[in-house]
Amino acid sequence: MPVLEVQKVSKSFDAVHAVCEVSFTAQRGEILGFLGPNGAGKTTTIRMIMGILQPDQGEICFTLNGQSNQVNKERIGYLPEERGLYDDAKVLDTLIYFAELKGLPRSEARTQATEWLERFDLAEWAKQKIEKLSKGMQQKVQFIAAVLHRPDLVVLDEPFSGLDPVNQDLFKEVIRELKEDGMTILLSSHQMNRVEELCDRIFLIHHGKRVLYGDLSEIKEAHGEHVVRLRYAGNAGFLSIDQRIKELRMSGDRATFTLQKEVDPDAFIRGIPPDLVIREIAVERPPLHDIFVHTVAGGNHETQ
Amino acid sequence: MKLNKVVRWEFRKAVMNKGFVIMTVLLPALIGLVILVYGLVEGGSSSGGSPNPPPFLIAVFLALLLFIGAFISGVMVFYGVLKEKGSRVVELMLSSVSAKDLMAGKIIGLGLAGLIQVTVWAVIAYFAARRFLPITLSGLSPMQLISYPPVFCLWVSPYCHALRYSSINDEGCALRRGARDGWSYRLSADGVSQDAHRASRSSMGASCGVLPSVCPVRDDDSDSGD
Repeated sequence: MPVLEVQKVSKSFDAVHAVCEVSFTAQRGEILGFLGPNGAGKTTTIRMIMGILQPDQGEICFTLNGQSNQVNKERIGYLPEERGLYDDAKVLDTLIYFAELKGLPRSEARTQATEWLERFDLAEWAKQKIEKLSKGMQQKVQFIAAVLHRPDLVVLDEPFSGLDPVNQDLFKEVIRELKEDGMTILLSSHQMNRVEELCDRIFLIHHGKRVLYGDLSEIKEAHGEHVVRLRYAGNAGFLSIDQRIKELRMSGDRATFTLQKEVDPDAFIRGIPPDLVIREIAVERPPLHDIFVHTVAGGNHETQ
Repeated sequence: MKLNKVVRWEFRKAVMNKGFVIMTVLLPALIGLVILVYGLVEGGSSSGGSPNPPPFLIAVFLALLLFIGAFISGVMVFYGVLKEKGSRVVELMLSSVSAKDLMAGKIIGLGLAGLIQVTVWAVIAYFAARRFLPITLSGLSPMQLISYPPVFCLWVSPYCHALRYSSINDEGCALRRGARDGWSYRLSADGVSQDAHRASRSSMGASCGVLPSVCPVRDDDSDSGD
């Protein structure tokens, strides 16, 4: 049974249709990538999920702690895109307050908060005011506030923004751990490489409508023209006249090209003339970034 | 339960505020010290050479101090609320508590802090009256009773603290303005209901209450929300 079920949800602001009949589900213990260009309707949908906004049409259902609910704010964690913390409050006090609002007893909230602060190298900042923290540190505090009460569902809107690569890896590691613990994660990010690394399935929204939804590997398969990267020695002249190849780029002893959709990469490699010595070869599916750009720029017909 | 936590948090934030500490602890303590020193210098008697100040002047002076205190803390709350809206803390709060609890928590928490301030000033006014006015409440006419310093402070204070609540009211306005970028809550006769879509511009202005001028509705606030 899905933890989150969004059914034909719509939302308009005056004449602007921010979200139009959007439907998707998030299963227990999965990371669902929630993607879309700026102004696509992501944040509006997330706010409806969080109960901050009411949908004009449709329904949002949760199955949390084995019970179906319209919304149970205590079992949901939320990291908003735009950061929101009390600047003049102390780090530990803030975390305890937010955890208490999520139903955690004060003593347990303090213990959990201290452990999380140690995990994120913020223990020495526990008694400091939030205004003294850097943007990345504040991001860590807000992330802790979102997951401290061990929710069933956590919505992470741009969790990697403002973080250096080391801390991005730390967040990635923690998100994976949360998933392994059975937490459902709705991850919204513009960093396609991170989404690709973390997500099991993706949902792409554009102009308020669903344009891509499903298993990430299946989507890549469906959009899959294979990209070949080759380092060679010898005569590679045949590449420029081979009809199965497009978008050929050659530089020194390297060539990168895309195979036509119907071409089997295995058969192509086996058919390479023997006078071309292959030093290195890699056959890859196009990155999610390319699929995103292609889908958003090339129209919004739905694929599932 | 959540309301209690919001009340406690808001109360704590209010009393830890520098303006509140100055107006509720430091300034009353200073005035108390002045009264004490004046009493010692005058030998504890008001029948000496110097005449007592008129009671109404003392009352006005104390009420003015109270007004300034409430005004300063009200302004600080006002800017705090704007900052809260600007930093999107409210969005995070609304993901944990209902809009009704959040609003009620702010009003009760700040109201309690205001009550402490009023009490402190009433006590100071009482001692000032005892020192300078050799009269008791039972012997006063209605007009004298109104101008009796502690009573004056108490009946003036609600007006002063209206400023405080107007700041809170502004939060409702600020949030309602947030309807433009996707979320708001509406204070109505049947409580606070979330509905950004139905919050019309006319209801936005009309419900701003005490200080409608601090609740501008700008067309350029539009943010369709991605």
